Amino acid sequence: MRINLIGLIIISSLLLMGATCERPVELSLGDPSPQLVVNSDFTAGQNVLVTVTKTQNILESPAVKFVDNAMVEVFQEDELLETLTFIPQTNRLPPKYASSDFKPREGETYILKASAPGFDPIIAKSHVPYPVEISQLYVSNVNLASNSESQNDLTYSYNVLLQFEDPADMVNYYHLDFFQKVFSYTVLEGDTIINGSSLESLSFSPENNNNSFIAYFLGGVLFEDAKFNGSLITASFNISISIDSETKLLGPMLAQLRNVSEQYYHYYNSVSRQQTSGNDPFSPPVFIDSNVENGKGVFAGYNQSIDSTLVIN
Amino acid sequence: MVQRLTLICLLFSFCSLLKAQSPLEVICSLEVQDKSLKECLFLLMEDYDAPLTFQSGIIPEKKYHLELRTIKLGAILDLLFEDLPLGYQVNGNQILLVKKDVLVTPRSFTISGFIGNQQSGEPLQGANIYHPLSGKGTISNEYGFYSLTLKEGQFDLVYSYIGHETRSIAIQLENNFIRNIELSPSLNLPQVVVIPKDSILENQNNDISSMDIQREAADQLPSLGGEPDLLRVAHLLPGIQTGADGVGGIFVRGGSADQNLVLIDGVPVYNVFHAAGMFSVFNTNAIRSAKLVKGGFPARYGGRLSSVLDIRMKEGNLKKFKGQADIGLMTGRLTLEGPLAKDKASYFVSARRSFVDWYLPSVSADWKKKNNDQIGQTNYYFYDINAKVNFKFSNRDKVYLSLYSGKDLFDDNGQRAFELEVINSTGGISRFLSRQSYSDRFDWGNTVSSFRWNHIINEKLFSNITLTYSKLSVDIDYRNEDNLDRMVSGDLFNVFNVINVGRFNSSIEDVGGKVDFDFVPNSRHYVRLGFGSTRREFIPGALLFSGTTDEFQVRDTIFNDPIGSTEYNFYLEDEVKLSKHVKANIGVRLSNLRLDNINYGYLQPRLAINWSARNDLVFKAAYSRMVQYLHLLSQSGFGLPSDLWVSSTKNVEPQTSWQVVVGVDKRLENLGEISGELYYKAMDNLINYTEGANINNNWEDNVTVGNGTAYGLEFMFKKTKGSTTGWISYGLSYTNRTFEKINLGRTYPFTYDRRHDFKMALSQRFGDKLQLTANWLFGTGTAFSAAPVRFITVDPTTGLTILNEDFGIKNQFRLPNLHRLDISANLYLGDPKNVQHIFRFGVYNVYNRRNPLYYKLRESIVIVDGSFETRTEYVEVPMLPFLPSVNYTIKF
Repeated sequence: MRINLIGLIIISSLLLMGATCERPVELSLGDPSPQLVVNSDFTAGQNVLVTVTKTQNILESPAVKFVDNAMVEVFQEDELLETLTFIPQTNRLPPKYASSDFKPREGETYILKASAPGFDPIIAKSHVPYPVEISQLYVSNVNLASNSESQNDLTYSYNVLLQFEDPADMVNYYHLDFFQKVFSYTVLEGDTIINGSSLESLSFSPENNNNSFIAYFLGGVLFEDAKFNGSLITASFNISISIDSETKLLGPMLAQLRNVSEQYYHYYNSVSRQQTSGNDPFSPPVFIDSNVENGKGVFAGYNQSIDSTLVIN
Repeated sequence: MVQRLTLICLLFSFCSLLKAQSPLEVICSLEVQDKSLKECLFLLMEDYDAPLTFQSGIIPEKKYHLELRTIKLGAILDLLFEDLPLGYQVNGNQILLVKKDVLVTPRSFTISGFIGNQQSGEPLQGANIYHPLSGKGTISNEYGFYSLTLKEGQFDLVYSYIGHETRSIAIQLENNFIRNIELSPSLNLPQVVVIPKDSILENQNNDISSMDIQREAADQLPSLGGEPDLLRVAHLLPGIQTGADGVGGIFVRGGSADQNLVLIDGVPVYNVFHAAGMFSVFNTNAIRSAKLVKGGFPARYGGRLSSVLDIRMKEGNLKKFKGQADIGLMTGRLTLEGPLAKDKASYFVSARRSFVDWYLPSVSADWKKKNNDQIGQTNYYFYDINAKVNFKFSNRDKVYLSLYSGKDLFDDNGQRAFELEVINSTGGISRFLSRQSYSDRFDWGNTVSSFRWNHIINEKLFSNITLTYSKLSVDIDYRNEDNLDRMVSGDLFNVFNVINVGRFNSSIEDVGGKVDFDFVPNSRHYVRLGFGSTRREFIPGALLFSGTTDEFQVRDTIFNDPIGSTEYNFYLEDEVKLSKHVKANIGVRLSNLRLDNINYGYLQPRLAINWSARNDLVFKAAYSRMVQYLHLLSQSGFGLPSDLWVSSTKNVEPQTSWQVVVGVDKRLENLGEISGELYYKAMDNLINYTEGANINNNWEDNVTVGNGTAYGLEFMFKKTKGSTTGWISYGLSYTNRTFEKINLGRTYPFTYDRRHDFKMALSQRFGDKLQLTANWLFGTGTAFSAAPVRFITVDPTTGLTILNEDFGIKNQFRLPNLHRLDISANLYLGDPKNVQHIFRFGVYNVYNRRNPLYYKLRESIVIVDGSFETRTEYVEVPMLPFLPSVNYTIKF
């Protein structure tokens, strides 16, 4: 509908013989110095991984610009815990800085400091929340329908119900994600042979976004406990997935409940909103929240619990 | 013989005049140096035969140094006896001087009635009624009603109104009575209606932050497409902001677009623009008066935070049939009015329609074909109609029924088809036919109606009972279809067919009633009180459909639940003269909103004080607290019809504000007036969409609550005398907003935070036939957001990249300064009393300043050295260029 609104403005102008048209302009938006951009989600018991890139002028062609000569350190209060080691790019994975010995612990707060020649040093702080366990997970109302255009395509739709207890007297933020395990198979001489499996993230539509429930742009939803602080939460979702029944089988469904830090929630909340907002002058800009002082990105802790269930009636 | 008869007549007239004239009204002069009171009195008796009777013993000893010239005897006596225990009373033709303690206090009586135009019977709002002897006076209210309480006696009352002959009427006041008065348009200033001798902008009441905008200003000043527009005149006043070429609505003293109470005959209008802000919905032919209040709100006004634009429609000519037809490049108007029963009942009807749909479809079809290879067209038109009937049942009773209805309709459609050739997996070529089509339709409009009964209960008490109805409805339909067929041997095999159909509709509907009283107990107090109730129904809804065939399935049915609320209000205000030089308007407004189980109640004190330090110098100050139970949600901020009116709810509290204003007015002899005001306004519980909100979703879950402040100063110089009239104004303002979920909770400048705002409107008359007018405005560019940098974050575990734009601070950049000059030449031919022809030749944006509406980032693929590259650049969308116009009006 936004396009239509633009049309209305343009036509309103046209009808006045205004001949409204676009014309390039040189805007003086300043020339901000490049800043370091860090990205790290860390959790208890796992090494800390940090990618470091830099900002670029909006008029340049967008490209990933890694910073490979940075010094990246993790502190707890004033105590240096470890200087992260640079790991060059491998085939699939980006260059990053990683801790070798240090692994965060639940309930602890850590500070990330990074510096590189030509950039202001950055600092960011976050903690690892305690996990919130999924107390119940089950699937109901499983329906199966074949696609009218391709008889081999089967669409499973089901209702998943998840229950957990929100810790009281504190603000909690969550990232809930559902994955559907799908097995690849072949039938050989009457026997079904499983060749492998994959996890498909079940995405949520941003059309259901509201102030406390945001579709995470890479899958799952982000929400806060403002409306149900300290209570037993029962959440119900309708899920639909299509598979090629000739080559794939439906496996168990997994639920991953991340109890995330405030920094995690606000950063990915704003990133998700910006990713789905309209790129037109009629859409107000979305500002990216960041806990990185003098830089961009996020350094945020989380904890998680995982449960799974079979998709059967 | 003739000479004798003439002499006798003259003598008779003179004697009658003498008989009618009070001895206190004899014009005298008194120039004395170091003379006693007794000597002064004897001088008056000797020089002017002043009929003074007194005993020498009661005259106190006091010396005077006076230079009084051509002043009425009564005024001289008042001055001489000031602070003395001496008074006077009139007995027949004699003036008896007595001690104050034995002075018989004369009784007071009230004269009241309606004041109207003698030629049309239209009520005159703001007419002056003045008692020269005492200096007491009053002005007529919006219905032409006046009431003045004076001491008994025989004297003249002076009735005056701008552009009308002043009438002095002999009154024998010995009881309360009703006297309806009609003033005729000035005979010796035949062009005054179209070319006022005085200013086209008057503030007769000296109210703070308040102005009466004369309809003639809209007719005479240059306008867009030659279409007279009251709101465009309002744009030229200090403290009133708007976007480029009026886009976006009006923003008063840092307030938002929804904070302006626009009333037609006392009924609120929700959408005041046609064509997304290009034109206002007010047909100036139908307007009798308009008053704009920006601060120091009297208690009778409420329901919005920032301004009141109180527009009164014409009642219809009670004397004879009159008509007017106007035609220009953009619109045509026809206005008819006349008596249904002479001096008893009349009708008024005025209709307007745009003409652009006569040529837009063909122009747009050519444009679409040429630029987008599309078959389709665009169409747009608007119309509005104002109608009114009124009946005068008695000297005390009038009833009115008025109606406004307007609609905008925008239609846009197009389709294109093209063939694609794709190399398939076998190395051969597959051919496809792609067909795309779209169709959009916007339909929105207001309907406003009111029934009113004016009744003079007694000479001191006037009542007005009003029933109101107002509705704004918006309907938007769209349909997009994307179809791909594979072409095999001339046959088509469908690959996919996606159809999106949507319908968005919203409405707000008010039904209300109110009772207002004007009570004038004496000449010191003017009390207004009233109460009313309004029932509102909101339907903020949307429906979306999608499907792969024509048999649609509901993809998402999103319907914000209809909301009904009831607002009650009560007000009481007293315009009281605290002393000879100090006047105050003290009031309070109580309002209450009921909605489901929620109950909001607010007490809103109001205070305005005027201190006349000298005859030509007035200092003013005011405080007002306002409450607003409505909110307008706008994603674009451009004032589009898709903006959503919503009610305060349990989660969204009413908007509130308080404002203080101090100001000064200085009248400049034979020139005009200069004024200045300083204001501060704080606003709470403002709402806005959360960043990145889905506007089709339930609005309550997608808004954020915040606050704002606005402060600044405004200067205005008005030249109201001579053949050159007009005004120059300057405003300096600071306005900001803070919302929890916008700009990361940081305070940011409001979009229309126009730091400097300079405006000028001028009218130059050349005799009675020709008038040249011009307006020029200059203002700081509106604030906007742009991302100077972007960054890409990379997930270290998966390698997924995320492209982000960094906007820094919201609204940290400014569009270029806004400025524009418009001119108009108005030619008046014919006889205003019979048939008059008016030609208006105008130029909008004389020096073709292309003020930008907005900037946007545009990315395009370009070939550089044989390879594809993405080029990113900012482009601006400028608004209207040089636009000439011509309009013709015939009045008959």
